[in-house]
Amino acid sequence: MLDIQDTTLDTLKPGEKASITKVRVKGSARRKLFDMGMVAGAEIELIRNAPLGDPMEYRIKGYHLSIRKEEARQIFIQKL
Amino acid sequence: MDIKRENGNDVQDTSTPMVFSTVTGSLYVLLGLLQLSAGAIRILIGPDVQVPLTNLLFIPADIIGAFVLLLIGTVFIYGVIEMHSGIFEGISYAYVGILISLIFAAIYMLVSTGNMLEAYLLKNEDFIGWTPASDLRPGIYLAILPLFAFIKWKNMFEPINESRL
Amino acid sequence: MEDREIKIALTGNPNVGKTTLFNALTGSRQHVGNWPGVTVEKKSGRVAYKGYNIEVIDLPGTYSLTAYSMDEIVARDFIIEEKPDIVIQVVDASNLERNLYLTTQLMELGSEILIVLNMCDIAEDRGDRLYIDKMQELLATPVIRTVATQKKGLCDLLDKVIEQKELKQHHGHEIGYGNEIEEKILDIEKVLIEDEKRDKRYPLRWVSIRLLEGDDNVKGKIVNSPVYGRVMAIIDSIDQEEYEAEIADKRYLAINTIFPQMCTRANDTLTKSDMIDRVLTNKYLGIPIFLALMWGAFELTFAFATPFMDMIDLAATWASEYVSSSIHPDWLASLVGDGIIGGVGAVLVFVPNIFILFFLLSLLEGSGYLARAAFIMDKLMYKIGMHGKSFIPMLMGFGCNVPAIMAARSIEDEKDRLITILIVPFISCGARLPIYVLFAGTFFGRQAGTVIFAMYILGIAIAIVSAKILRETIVKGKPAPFIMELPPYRVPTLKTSLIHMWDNGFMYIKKAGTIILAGVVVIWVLASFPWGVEYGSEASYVGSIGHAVEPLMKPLGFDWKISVALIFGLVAKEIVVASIGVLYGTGDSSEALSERLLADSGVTALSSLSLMAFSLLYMPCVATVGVIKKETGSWKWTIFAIVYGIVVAWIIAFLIYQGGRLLGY
Ligand SMILES: Nc1nc2c(ncn2[C@@H]2O[C@H](COP(=O)(O)OP(=O)(O)O)[C@@H](O)[C@H]2O)c(=O)[nH]1
Ligand SMILES: [Mg+2]
Repeated sequence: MLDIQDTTLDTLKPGEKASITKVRVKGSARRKLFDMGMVAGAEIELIRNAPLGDPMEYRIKGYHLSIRKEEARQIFIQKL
Repeated sequence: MDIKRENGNDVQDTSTPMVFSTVTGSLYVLLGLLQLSAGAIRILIGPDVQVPLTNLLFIPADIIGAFVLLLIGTVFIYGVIEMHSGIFEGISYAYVGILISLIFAAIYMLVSTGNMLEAYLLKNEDFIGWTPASDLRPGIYLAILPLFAFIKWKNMFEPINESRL
Repeated sequence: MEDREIKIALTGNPNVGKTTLFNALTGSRQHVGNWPGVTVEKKSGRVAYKGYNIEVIDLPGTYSLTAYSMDEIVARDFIIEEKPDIVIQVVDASNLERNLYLTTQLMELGSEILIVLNMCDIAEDRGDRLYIDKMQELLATPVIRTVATQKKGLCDLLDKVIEQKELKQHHGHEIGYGNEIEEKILDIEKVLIEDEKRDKRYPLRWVSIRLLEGDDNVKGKIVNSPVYGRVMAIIDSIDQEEYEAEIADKRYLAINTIFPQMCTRANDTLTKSDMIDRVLTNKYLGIPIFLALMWGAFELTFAFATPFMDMIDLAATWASEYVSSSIHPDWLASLVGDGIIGGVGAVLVFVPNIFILFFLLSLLEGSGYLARAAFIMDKLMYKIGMHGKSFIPMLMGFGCNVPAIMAARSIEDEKDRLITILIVPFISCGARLPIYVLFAGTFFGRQAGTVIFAMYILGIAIAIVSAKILRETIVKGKPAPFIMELPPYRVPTLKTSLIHMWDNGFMYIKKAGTIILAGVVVIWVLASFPWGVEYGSEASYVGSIGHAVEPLMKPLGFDWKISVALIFGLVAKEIVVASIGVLYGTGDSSEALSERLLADSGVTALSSLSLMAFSLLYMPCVATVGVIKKETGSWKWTIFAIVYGIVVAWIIAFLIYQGGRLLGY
């Protein structure tokens, strides 16, 4: 469990893809993220930031999902 | 940014939309600037000073309307810049520019229809001397270009692999 | 032969076409939208088919049944407690993977499932291949293909429903969660089963899994059980977050192993929706376009509506005059003419605004732009302590606070929702506009537009400040995370928008026909009695009431007449103008009323400004109070909303009037 990389989802650039390794978000958001498909191993791509910089628009499991940077910072990824 | 397409030989040619966007975008920006100065002068100096061409081109002294014209123009020009630098997705701006210009033309025409009802049906005294030409404005007549493009290029705006079938 | 009854429930993710399918099946009217979570209420309809009477229930759209939001709890409780004969999961064929996640949960619930593969047109146009037979086999569930918008596959669906009902065979299916978790599930099941009085509608395995996932709603259901303590002991012994992740992982793993056999997806292509999104959420253009579109919507709601409002005004004036001259006795003529027609006419004038507003909102919703509005505005909203999703209810508030507060249901987080509900009444609704139009028009002439605009800004400012204050004090905490699907852009259907417009517009007319009519009659009675006094004079009952509260209102610049109008405005803010009309004895002729107001030395430009601010902010109208009670489910918050509003209104009006006097106006 220690080999998780330090890269987090908020560092992804538009068009870059990654694979999710661990979700460290706490509370009810955690379950909601799982429900929306943010599980370990899922492939995710940043499409763009909102005009004001936050939240972000990602493509995951074939649809568009939007989350704030605050949560993205607690989701660990491996860039593809 | 990678373009997700299997082969590069379909609809890559963006020269026609580029010419169209350049022309339409410049017209919107130009008339937007004229309208902006007309509006600004009306507020700063008063209704006595006339900006040249405003009567001829049916330009009202309306700053918010000017902002809308400039916005539409900017959307088109933005697309030209992207297409010029070889980004195929730049065509999206032409598409949305066409949609927005048509939406606003529709809004202006609906409001004008309302005024027509006031003038001819209700004979409201605020609307004495109103004619359909009173409400003609760049936001309406400039939209003829995008309307034309919309009808002519309908297929181009379909999802890419539909047009490939 | 008597019809046999079948009860089916439609469930599925938001925006998969449940409501469209529901409308196609039952022919009943229901709103169709694109904002995730729009179907908050349970709607039911009936369809008669081949000698069966089938009851269809449209459940709220949910991504899962984990009790994250009210929607999920509503859907889940319905499925478990009402036990529909068949649960139909509507699945978006173009977005299969995420949709199947809900399927895994429905299966655990032990309900009889039938899968409807909707939006097949989109998937196939895109080049996806769907292997239905394989899907039926792997999911051990019947699968029917439909295109709800074209009413394709409906008969197949109904045939299958009947077949399934008659077969009465249950397809058991469950997901394995790996040794460690399975052991714990078994442990909990063993304890739970000892409680003889447990609710047997809930499958044991399902309850156990939910408990391991830390579902508070389910925990609450067993809290009175004698075995509660022992169950909690097991749950406290595990690393719950790990379990939560592991369980979700396993579900998606199960999907991933069967998914590739069920369909092959075409390569991602640049869709029309992606193209539009690229521009509408562009870094530089996104916000200007958003503002321009909002301005366009307002222009239509107000400018385009004007001639229609004038027409209604003319008709009401004519009817009022006709009635006054043709009805006997006099008191009845006065009641019907001045009271009822005058008052209700003044309210019906806003029907065009409200119709247009709801039509436009529905277009925005159906196109998918409303979700982008939340996406674009979230950062700003977050700064003032709110959630991007609160933007939509606040925007709707400009039309009418009642549907706006109802729209807050789509906000999952209770605190976010509460704050939104509490501040929406400060957003200046259409009903307050006539007050501004009358007073600003009368006293501010050419500046009227600016004054009215300032009122809107004042309302927004108070709403923002209130949100901040609430976040710092009673409703502490940060806004909930923004986790939201941005659905693809679709061309909204005219029919859907018209239905939406009609339903909501009609609701407003009904309100005008009931509460407001009653209010108008009460005013007339109070203003006309004791019988024989001059209408609305100081000698009438209404005069006495006005005098009684005058000391409180004097510092705000209001005399007894205005005080009376404001008291009646509590029934509905529209009535303020109507009752001022009644009190000044001018009926609904606004020009005559303007003249009388100008002639009355008790009302000045300054006091009219104070009055506008006061009517904007003070207690929400009865209908709004009613929904606040209904939506918060608490008298405490309802009373808070009323008292808070009145206090804020008094303070602001006091500042305006006394401040203005100090400045020498
Ligand atoms: N192309 C296509 N669009 C559909 C289909 N079914 C529904 N829609 C559209 O999908 C959108 C969402 O539908 P709705 O019934 O509101 O979904 P709900 O949230 O599940 O109730 C609407 O714009 C519908 O017109 C379908 O089978 N094919
Ligand atoms: Mg629905």
